[in-house]
Amino acid sequence: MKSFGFVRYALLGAIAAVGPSLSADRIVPSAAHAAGRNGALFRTDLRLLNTSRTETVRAMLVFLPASGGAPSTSAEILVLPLQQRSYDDVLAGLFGVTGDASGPIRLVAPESVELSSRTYNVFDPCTGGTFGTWIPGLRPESAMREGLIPQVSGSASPASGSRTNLIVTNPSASVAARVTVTLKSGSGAVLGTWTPSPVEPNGSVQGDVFLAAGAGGVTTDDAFVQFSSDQPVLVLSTVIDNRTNDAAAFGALALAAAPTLVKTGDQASFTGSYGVSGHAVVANENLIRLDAFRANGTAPGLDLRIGHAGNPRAQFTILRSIGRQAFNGADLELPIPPGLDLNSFDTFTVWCYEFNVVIAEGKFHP
Amino acid sequence: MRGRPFLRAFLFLSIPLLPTVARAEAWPRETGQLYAYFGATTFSSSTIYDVAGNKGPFPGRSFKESGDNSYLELGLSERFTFVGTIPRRKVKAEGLFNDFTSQGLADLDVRLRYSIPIREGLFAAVEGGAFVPLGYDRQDFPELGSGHTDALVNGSLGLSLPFLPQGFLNADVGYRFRGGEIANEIPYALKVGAFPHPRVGVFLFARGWKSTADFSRVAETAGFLVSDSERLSAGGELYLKVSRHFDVNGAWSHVVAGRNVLAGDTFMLGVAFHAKLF
Repeated sequence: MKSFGFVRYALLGAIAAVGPSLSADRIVPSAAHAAGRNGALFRTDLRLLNTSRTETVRAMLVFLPASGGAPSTSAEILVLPLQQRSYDDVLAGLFGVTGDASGPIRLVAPESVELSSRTYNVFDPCTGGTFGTWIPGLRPESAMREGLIPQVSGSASPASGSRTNLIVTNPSASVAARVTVTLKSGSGAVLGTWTPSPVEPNGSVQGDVFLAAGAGGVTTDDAFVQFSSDQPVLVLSTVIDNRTNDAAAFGALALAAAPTLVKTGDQASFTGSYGVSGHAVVANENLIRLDAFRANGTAPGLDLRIGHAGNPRAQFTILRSIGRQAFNGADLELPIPPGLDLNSFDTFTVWCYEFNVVIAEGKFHP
Repeated sequence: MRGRPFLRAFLFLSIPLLPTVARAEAWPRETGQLYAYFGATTFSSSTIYDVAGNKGPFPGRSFKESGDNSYLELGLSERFTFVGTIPRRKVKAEGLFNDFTSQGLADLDVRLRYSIPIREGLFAAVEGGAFVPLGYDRQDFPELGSGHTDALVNGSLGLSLPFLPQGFLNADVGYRFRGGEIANEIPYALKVGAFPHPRVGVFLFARGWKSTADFSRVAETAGFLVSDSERLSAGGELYLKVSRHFDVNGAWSHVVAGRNVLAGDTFMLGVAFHAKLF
C-alpha cells in the first residue's frame, strides 16, 4: 500500500529526453526483486519485442519504485526489426536494484514495441524450479474509471489457500486518482471496502486486498473486486498460492455498458392539437430525425424539444423553435446539442412556449 | 292547470323567481309566456386548477374573457318550455411573449323542458337538449369551444320555501354527452333564493360539472385548450323587478375548485324582458 506519485516530474523529464517520437507508453503494473510472504522470492523477467518488419526503434524503460524512491531510467534501448530485447531479473539487471524493491515499469517507445513480463517465485520446494505469471504491458488508454477483477482469493491462514495482491496504477501525468475498491463474495455480498490514499500521478498502490479491505479473516476462492475511480486507472491482481507461492495475474474487466434511456434507432410518434403530428427517430447520438412533421401554424408559438417523460417543464432541451410556422409532412434534422447523450432524454415533445403546455409528445421506444 | 287552482297560484308566485341566468329552473313557463334575457359577462384569471386539482399560476400571463348571452324561454304548453341560449365570446389569452384573441359565437344551447308538478310547492323537470357549435374555427386560438355537438339530459327539482318570502330551492343534475375526444360530464347546480322585497330578489348558487375522464391521463391544458375539466363555482345574484315587463340583474361567481380549469371571477349584468305572446 505504498504510494510513489511524486516521481511524475522525473518521469516526464525522462520521456522528454527520448524525444517526441517516443510517445506511446506501456506499463507493467508490477515488477519485483523482493522477498514475499511464506518464503517467496520474487523476480521479474521483462521482454521488449519489436513487431515492426523494417524499423529499428528506440525505447526507454522507467522503474517507479513502490517504496517511493526516485525513479530509475534506463539508457536508450535500440530494438531491431522483429527482434526482442531480454532483461532477466529486470530490476537488478537493468536498474541496478540490490535490496528488495518492487513497482511498475513504464515503457516509452513507438507503437511497434510490445512489453511483457513474467514475475515468478524462484524457490519451488519440490523441484527447485520456478512458479510465475505473465504480467502484461498495459496501455494507459486502457485505464478504467470502474471495473471488475475476477477470481480473487483470500485465506485466513497463511499456510493454506491463496492471497491476492491488488495493484492500482495511475497513468495520468498530472491528476491524482481517488479509488474505491470493494471486495465482494461470488454472490455479490460485500466482504470489505478499501479506499487507498489518492494515487498520485504516475504512481501506484498495491497490497493484499483482503487485509486492506478489513476481510483478513475471510477464507474463500470465490470472490471478486469491483473498483471505481474519479480518474482512469490500471488495476491488476496477482493471486498467489500460500503453499507454493505460485502466482496468477488477472486484469481488470470492464462493466457492461449501462443501458441508456434511448438508443440509436428508437422512435417516437406523436399527434396533438393544431394539426401537429410526426415521427421522431434517434438517428445517432448526435442527431434526431423528424419525419412527416405536420403543424397547421395556428398554435401560439411552438418549439421542438427533448426531455424526460412526463416532465417536459423541468428537464428539457429545445432543439428548434418553430413559432407559428406551418409544416406539411416535412422531414427535419435536429442536432442533439453538445453535452447531451442518450441518457439525457426519453421523450420528444412539441411544446407551446407561450403557455407552457404540451401540444404533442411521444416517448422513444425500440 | 285547469281544475288545479293551487298549482296555478303556485306557478303565479314561482315563475317570477328568475334565477341566475334568468331561468325558470324546474318550473314551467306559462303557455305563450316569453322570457328573453340579454346579459353581459366578464371573466378574468391569472390562476388555474391543474389536473390534480391544485391551484397554480396561469401558464401564460393572464386570461380574459368577455361576452354576452342571449337567452330565451318560451312556454309552449302547460308543461313544455323551450329554452335557448346564444353565447358570444371574446377571449384574450396573454402568452409569455404575445397576446392572442378570438371572438365570435360559441356553442348554441337549446333545450326542451318538461315540468311535472309533484305536490304543492314541488316541481320536477326533465330536459333534453344539445350544444351546437356556431361556426367558429376550432383551429383558432384561443378556442371558443370544442367544435363538436354535445347532447344533454338534465333533471331538476324545484321546491318552494314558504318560510322565506317567495323562497325557493332548485337542484339540477344532468349528463352531458360530449362529442369528440372530451369525456362525458355531469353538470349540477344548487340554487336558493328569496324576495325580501317584492321587487328585489337575492339568490345564492353553486354550480359546476364533474368529468368522467381519468385525470391521471389528462394533459395540462387549462386556459389553453378546451379539454377534459371539472369546475365548481359559487356566487350570488341580485335581481330587480324594474317594471311589469323588465327586470335587471347583477351576479358574481367565483371558481372555488376544479381540475384542468381556469380559476377566477365572473361578473354578470343583464336585462330581462317578459311578456305574454299568445
